Amino acid sequence: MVIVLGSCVSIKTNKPTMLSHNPNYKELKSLNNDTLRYVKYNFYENQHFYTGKSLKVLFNDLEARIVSFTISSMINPIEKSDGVSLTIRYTKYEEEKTNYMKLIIKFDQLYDYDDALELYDSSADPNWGKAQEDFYKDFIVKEIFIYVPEEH
Amino acid sequence: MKKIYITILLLLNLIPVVTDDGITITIGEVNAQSMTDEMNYLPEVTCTASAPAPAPVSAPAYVGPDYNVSSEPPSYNPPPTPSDPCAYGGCNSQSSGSSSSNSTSSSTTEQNEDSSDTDEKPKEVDCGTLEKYYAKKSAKTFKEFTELPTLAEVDERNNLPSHYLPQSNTVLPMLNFHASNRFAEAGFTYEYRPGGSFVSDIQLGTTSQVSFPLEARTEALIHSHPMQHEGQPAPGPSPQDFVGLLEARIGQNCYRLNNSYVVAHGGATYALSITSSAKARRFYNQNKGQLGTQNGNFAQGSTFYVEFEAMRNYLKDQGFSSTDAHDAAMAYVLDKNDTGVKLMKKEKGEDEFKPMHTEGSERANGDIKNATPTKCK
Repeated sequence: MVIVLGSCVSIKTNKPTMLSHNPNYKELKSLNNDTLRYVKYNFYENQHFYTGKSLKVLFNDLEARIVSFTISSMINPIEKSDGVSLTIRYTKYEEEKTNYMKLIIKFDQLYDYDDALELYDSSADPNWGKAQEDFYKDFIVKEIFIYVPEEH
Repeated sequence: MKKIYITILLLLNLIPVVTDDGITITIGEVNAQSMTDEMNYLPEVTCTASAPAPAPVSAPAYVGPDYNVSSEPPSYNPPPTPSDPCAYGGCNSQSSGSSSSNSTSSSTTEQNEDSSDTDEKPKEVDCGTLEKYYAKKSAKTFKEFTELPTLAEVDERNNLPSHYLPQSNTVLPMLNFHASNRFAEAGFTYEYRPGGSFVSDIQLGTTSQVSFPLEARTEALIHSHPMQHEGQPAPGPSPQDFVGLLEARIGQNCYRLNNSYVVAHGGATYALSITSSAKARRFYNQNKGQLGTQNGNFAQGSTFYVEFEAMRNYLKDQGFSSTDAHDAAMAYVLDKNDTGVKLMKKEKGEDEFKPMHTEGSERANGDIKNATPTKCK
């Protein structure tokens, strides 16, 4: 008689996924809390680390606060989107004026514009939270741009 | 006469511009870092230039996998009769103009719900005399465009003593035909000649772009925007269409070119009209580093991209259809930046072009606080 004391299925342990970090990453405080310089250096100049990876890798590194997002539109097909623009606040030390920059992230894949629109509330401030982060975190980054408005 | 072939990527990607001399100029992808960056994307050429134009100094040209210019345009069968873009199928029977509230494909419950949310339309307002003048001027050129003879017909008529009454040509039937399906864009140019203006041969492109041969006496352009989704109207002029018009008119000194028309799937016709060449020149010269394009849109990282996206998001959130939000966002960028270019729209079944405007205010972070898209009565 053979007594089977266990199944043959290997038991998997659910270890938390360790997200890799940008080896060239510089913390915000190491750049004197200069948010503009921080974002520009880490996510634009060193974007090659994030391209090809899911957006949550970038979110995991990002120390600056996202206050709003804009769904990237496409001309054809018009109902799709290929990216997202994240608005980030930065403050210049010599002034107390608050400024904003846009971190524009393009994805490898298209998604339905209206799916993201359900999470978009133009009257909300901030217009970004966990729901939006959850929606975008698994998209694969293709390219990153930065837009810094001229000061008026 | 030497020709400069300007590729206007009407919906997507780059603009390779090829001359008879084999010059290829690429206007396209830019890797904008900030608005203050010094970038020179646009070639310095003239409309009748004979010297090779310098290559752009921007990033390598992006060539989308599906949108290359076909060296041999696809063959086609001329349409049997003049008609609207819906006559060959693809439009919902209730479709009218840019409305998508009744024309959205209703294969699912979700789409029905979506279509009920997209019933906001630009408000119709009274406009001043000047606006009406611009609209009439664009309508006049449009009418001339649709009645021009071909070059062969001009030659034939010049050998005859009598005058001919204007007759409708094949421009609208052909473009309606191409707007009715999803296969290829097509277009014509209006060539001014003192001895008799004429319409070019049809130019066939791909699903997202078409190339035009431009000469110093090119008076206007017209092209179709094909169906993207059955039952939904195609949008009007893209940012690429706007940039292409300025590039030709100002950048390449095609001094007669002031109008670019779009025959869109769904029945609407649009006009992009340069109403102030001084403003257009100033805008172009001050912003040509920002006027790169990408996939038919403004280049990521440019001011205009951010403005266009923000307004389109806002209007979509307010319940405008994709097409109406696109058109109103386009009008917003044109107005806000004092471009000297106006967007006008002629709805299906109407005779008049109506100028479109969008006023809005922004929050400090660039999001749109409120906006009012309007269309002249």
